[in-house]
Amino acid sequence: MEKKATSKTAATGSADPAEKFVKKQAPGRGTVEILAESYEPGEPEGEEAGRWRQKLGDRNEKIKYLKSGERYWYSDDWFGSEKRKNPA
Amino acid sequence: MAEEKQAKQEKSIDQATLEMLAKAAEEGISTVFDRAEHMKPCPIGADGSCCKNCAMGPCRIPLGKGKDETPEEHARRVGVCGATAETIAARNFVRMIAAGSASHGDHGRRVVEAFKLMAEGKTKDFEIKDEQKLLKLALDLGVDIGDRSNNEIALDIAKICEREFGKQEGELIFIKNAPLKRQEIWRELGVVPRGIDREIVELMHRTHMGVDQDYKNLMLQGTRAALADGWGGSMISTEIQDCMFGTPTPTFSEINLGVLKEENVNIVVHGHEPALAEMLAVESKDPELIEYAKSKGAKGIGLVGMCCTANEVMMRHGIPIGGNYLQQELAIVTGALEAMVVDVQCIMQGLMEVARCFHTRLINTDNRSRISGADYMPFDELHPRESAKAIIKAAIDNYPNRQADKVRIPQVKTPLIAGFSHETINYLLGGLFRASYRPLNDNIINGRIRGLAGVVGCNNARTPHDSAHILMIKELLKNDVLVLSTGCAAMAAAKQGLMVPEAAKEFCGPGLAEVCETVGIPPVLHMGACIDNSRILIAATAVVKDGGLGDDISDLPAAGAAPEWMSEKAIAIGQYFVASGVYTVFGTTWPTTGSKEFTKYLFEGMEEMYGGKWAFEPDPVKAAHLMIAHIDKKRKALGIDKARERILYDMAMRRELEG
Repeated sequence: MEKKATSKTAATGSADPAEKFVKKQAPGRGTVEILAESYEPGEPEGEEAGRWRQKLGDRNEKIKYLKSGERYWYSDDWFGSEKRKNPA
Repeated sequence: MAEEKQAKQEKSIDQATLEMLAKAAEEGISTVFDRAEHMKPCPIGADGSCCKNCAMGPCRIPLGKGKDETPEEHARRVGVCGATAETIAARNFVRMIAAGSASHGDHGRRVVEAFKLMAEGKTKDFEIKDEQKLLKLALDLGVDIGDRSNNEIALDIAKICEREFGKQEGELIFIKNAPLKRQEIWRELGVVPRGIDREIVELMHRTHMGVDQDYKNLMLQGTRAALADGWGGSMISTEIQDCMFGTPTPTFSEINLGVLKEENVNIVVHGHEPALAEMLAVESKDPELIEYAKSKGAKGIGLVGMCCTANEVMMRHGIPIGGNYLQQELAIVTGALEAMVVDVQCIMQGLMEVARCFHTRLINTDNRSRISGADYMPFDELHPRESAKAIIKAAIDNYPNRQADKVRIPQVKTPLIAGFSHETINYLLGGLFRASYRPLNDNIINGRIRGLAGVVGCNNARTPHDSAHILMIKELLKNDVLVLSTGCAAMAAAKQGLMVPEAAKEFCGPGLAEVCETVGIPPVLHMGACIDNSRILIAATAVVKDGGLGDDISDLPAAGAAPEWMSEKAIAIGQYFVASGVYTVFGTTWPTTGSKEFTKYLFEGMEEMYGGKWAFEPDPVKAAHLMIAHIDKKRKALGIDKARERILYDMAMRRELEG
């Protein structure tokens, strides 16, 4: 199966690594473009291994992360014990 | 001879400690272990039955051991002023909370002061290392972000945090980080702290002669002061330290006295506040200072941590740890220490006498904590780099005074991975794009993880060093309980090899081992220093908020413990965990047994109010079983105590459902 990764990051200037795409063959639909993996290749090593906070770029990205990663406190876009889909 | 060997082994389970105790004995040096053997604890004080709050006393009202007293006998057991056993035990207990909360609060105040100096540009040596945490704090405290510089935002944060200490009314801001239900419980009971200092001052007033004489009322204020620690002073410290020095992320390091290297100028930094240690960590890599060390005949500079300062610099810089609380004198006994640099809390005065037996310089750096006979080199927060340089230089200058024949470093050290802040756990479980506690909750619900335990606290020379920590933790792991740890308890676990991912396979039940292996985490997660117990509160809150395990911390299948507690800070921590809804078991000794009524109130009555309660069990395995029984009780209440039968629905059954 053909697998070719492209990145829109450079084209759009966005630092969001989620915008990485691959082209794959889909049954009956020919070549389709789908989201590529978001993990980093290889095994981290050296002093920087484990230092994930530096992956967040500018201030907007950091605030965006707070609203997704720390959504329990900083976003309305979540469901859990205090914001139920179906009230208890 | 065999008896002597056994007696020594009863002092510690740690090989390096035993080796250094043997060396100390050979050289006639007295340590905390010897002093504990020679001086038994006062039985009346140990039970909380001694009141020395006025000059009509001290009044001693001991409860006879092993006998039930009649109501008449109990009525006669009062102080000169008429204070009952309940009032006296409660006053002693809440005074411990006041001292513990004051210690963490004052730590927090110093951190905020340094942060403010940085924000004002008055010190150039500190900076914002974690902008993410700065922004988080801005959101917490309602500080405008916009296009403002980090220092402008930091200054506003510093001013707000500063006010939290002296605030007279309202609520501490970080209270709102707790689960909503928990906040309501606190409001209904009237225990939400108004200001950090106010609650401690009021508690001291209430325990003065002739003030609060109702143990339940005393404990309400004790709780308020404890919450002002956990959700106030401690939380402020942790958050601002993360901002200035970096939020901990997984870091590899080593622990135990074997990290000292004979060929280096060795400096141990010991205490609790990380500002000086941070600068020492940076400056110990300064090429000029390393060259200077070489000019004195050493190969380099070895910076090693001790006690909670060690946890701080290890989690952020990978600086190796020499040992925990009971090993502080033994680090000097190696004979390989040029300087022991100390700031505040848990620093034994006995260090000075041990240092006198060697060339080691004991260096005081904090005016709040001076030691007679030690060198005083104040840490100047306006010029931290210069302070650190001067201390390192003093240590290097001391290297030629080392006596080679007195040096013996135990070749014992263990690898560990630490740095599991709430933020990192969240990231490890969910990734960068959807960080989440969901996988943890799911694995608790499906039973792979039976529950969570926070095993924290000190060492205590009245119980074999590290032994209770390890017996308890291993019992919990075997029963699929994931352990979160801080302080000296975390160091004990690390020394026994429980803080590497490989430990999961060896020590955990099959469910927990599977989860640890999948995520790639150790089964005991090192969350930081004792001040960082606030991280455990936040992690527990995140588990609650994520859903599926109740509406409050008290609903969680979780428990806490301090099996080798020693300090007043531990009591403050225990009380803020109880008041946050956690079943909390202490070992070694219990300070209120002089009053059965008050002790019953702590062990039973608190549960009705807070959902959490205290327990005392000196046997660590039995204590672990109490925690597991509590976890099972909570699992049952949540309806996740049994695997549910899985039914595969066919079309007919689906149609029936839809109908």
